[in-house]
Amino acid sequence: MSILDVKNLHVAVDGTEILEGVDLTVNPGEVHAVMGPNGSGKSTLAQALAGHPSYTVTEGSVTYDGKDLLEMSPEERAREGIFLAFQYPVEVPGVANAYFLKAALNAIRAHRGEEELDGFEFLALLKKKLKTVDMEDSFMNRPVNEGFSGGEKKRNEILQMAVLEPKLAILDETDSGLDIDSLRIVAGGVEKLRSPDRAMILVTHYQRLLNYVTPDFVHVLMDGRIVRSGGPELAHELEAKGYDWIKQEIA
Amino acid sequence: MKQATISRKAAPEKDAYLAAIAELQAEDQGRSPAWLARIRNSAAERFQRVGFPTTHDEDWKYTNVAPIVRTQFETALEPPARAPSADEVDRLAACGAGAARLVFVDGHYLADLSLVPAGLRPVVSLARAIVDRADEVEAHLARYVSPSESAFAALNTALIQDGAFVFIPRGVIVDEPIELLFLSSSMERPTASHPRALIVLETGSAATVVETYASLGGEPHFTNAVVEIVLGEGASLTHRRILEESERTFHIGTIEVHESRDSVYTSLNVAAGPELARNGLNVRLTGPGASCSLNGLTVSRSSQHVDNHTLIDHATPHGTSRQLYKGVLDDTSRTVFNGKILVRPGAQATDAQQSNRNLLLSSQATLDTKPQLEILADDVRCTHGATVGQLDEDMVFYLKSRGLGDDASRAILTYAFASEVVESVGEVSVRSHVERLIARALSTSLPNGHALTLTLSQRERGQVGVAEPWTDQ
Repeated sequence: MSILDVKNLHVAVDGTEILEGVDLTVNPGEVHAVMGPNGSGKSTLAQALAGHPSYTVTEGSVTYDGKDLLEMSPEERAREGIFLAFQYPVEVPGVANAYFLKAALNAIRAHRGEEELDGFEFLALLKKKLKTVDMEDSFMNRPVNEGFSGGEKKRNEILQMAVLEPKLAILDETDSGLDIDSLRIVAGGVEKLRSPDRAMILVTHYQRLLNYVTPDFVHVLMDGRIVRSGGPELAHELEAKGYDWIKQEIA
Repeated sequence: MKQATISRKAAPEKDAYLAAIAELQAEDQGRSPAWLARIRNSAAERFQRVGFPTTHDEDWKYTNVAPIVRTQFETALEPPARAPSADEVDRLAACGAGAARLVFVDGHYLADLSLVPAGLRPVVSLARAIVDRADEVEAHLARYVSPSESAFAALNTALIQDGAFVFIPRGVIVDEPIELLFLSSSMERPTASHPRALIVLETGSAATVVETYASLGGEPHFTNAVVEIVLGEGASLTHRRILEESERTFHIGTIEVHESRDSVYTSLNVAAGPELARNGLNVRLTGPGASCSLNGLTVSRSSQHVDNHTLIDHATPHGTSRQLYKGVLDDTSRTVFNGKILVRPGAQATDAQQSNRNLLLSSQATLDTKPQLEILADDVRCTHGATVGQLDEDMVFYLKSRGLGDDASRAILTYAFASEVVESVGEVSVRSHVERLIARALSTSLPNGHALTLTLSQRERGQVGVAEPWTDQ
């Protein structure tokens, strides 16, 4: 059974329709790349799947793990195993990173009927996960994302993903704005989290993340629709020819 | 006899207070030293002369004290018959048990419940200091409160009997906080108390004083406090003022701080309790290089009203002042921030910053924020700013997208907004007391407890080898 089944999804922001009928099926263990030019609706797809209240679904259906995703609140989606790595991670002054992560993990564990972790257990786990993204322990006592560099913010998203262990991770342009070292760390983190029971959707504008993480499928989103799907070779073709090539083909 | 001149007819709302003043004078029978009688009498005359402030007075424009004025509060001239238990006192105090602590009920010192280490002997009740240390008290008492202060301050001075006297001699550094715990009794008849404190730090000395106001019950009470603080050259005072009285309490506080050259005054004012609270805090930088840093936090709900008036009087060059006042407003509550910065002629190289930030949790809440800058020197750096807003919905979504519920997300963000002003509080017991107070006032229950840092014991820290700094408790 697929983990995610998106059918004819239409999404509007402030009354303007951005997605105009997206179809996408993702199975456990698969890594899908969703590529497309700026303004094509990539981030809208990511935000809508996470349940951002500004994104209104006007038509279509989304089935996640056999359930109607669109009926679920953002927190329910997270507790059921969906994780969105934000394109622009939000700064949360006054809330320490470790506090936030522990509260989030325990909310998810409680939902699954698992025991909450105490401070000791959580920190032992966190210490392990910090290595995944090459982050200093001291990051954990700083307010969430506040004063973080662009690369640190993205690494922090990957760290959260590593701790929360989602079933479906959606990475919204996690590769953009990264220097090459951060990109390697982020890509390495993603690769380590790849597993047969975890699906990933990599939303990206560029091919460069895909040099480190080879997707199983590549989709091209344009003007609110997926206009082409293929294997990893499609990403290379896009890199070589640009998006205009597809635009002309579908025109 | 002075009381013979007091007329009861002019202003009926003053009757009960004038009666208290007359009773105090009659009972005193000349036992008080002449200088103290003079101070009281002149304040009594002033109280009689000036009316209670009204919203027509610029300084009281946003705060209507009519509910105080029209209630016939009876001044507690004696301590209540029943003293609180030691457990009750421990529970209400902000500093941990064992800390230096002067305990007052309705402004009267309770020696049995107080604790002053031998090394801190000049920390005594004002009544005792008036006898034992008359010269020091006379040199300072009632000399700083401005003659133009409201009738409330005059009333307090006219009724001086007791209070707190904190005297830190030249060069003495006191590391542990000294708590002044002012409790209000819960009497059937509405009761007024007039707490008084005189805090004197001599040249080069340093101390931390925590003023805590709490209620022993829920009956109507009027607390009319006056605090005078005198800092000698290079002296450093950290001052916490925590108002957590019951919701049927009115609190008027007048705080006057007199700073000498190179002295440092650091304060935190927290108001989370009284139905009406007004803090009038005047800081006068009277010597070059003096500095002050004022933090404030109000948490208001239901129909509470909190008014913070600050005046920073830069009278000499190279003074620095910092102010950060924050408010969290819910329901139909109302808060006022009026921050005046006065830079007098000649106060060159003054550096003054003021910020007032507010979070509105309800569309019915009202906020009045008013910076007042009066700059009469030309080489000055002066900034001020005020913000008011609601919770950032992007932050709320971010937290929810990680699995936290809507209520928990909002509680965490609200608490984080409020607790920023507490971060700089170095006294662990006080900080944790204030954090609990904030959480209670916001009636939030946060995941992982009240501190938004992760709490670890020393043992856990050692075992997992986590780098500093983790908050320890």
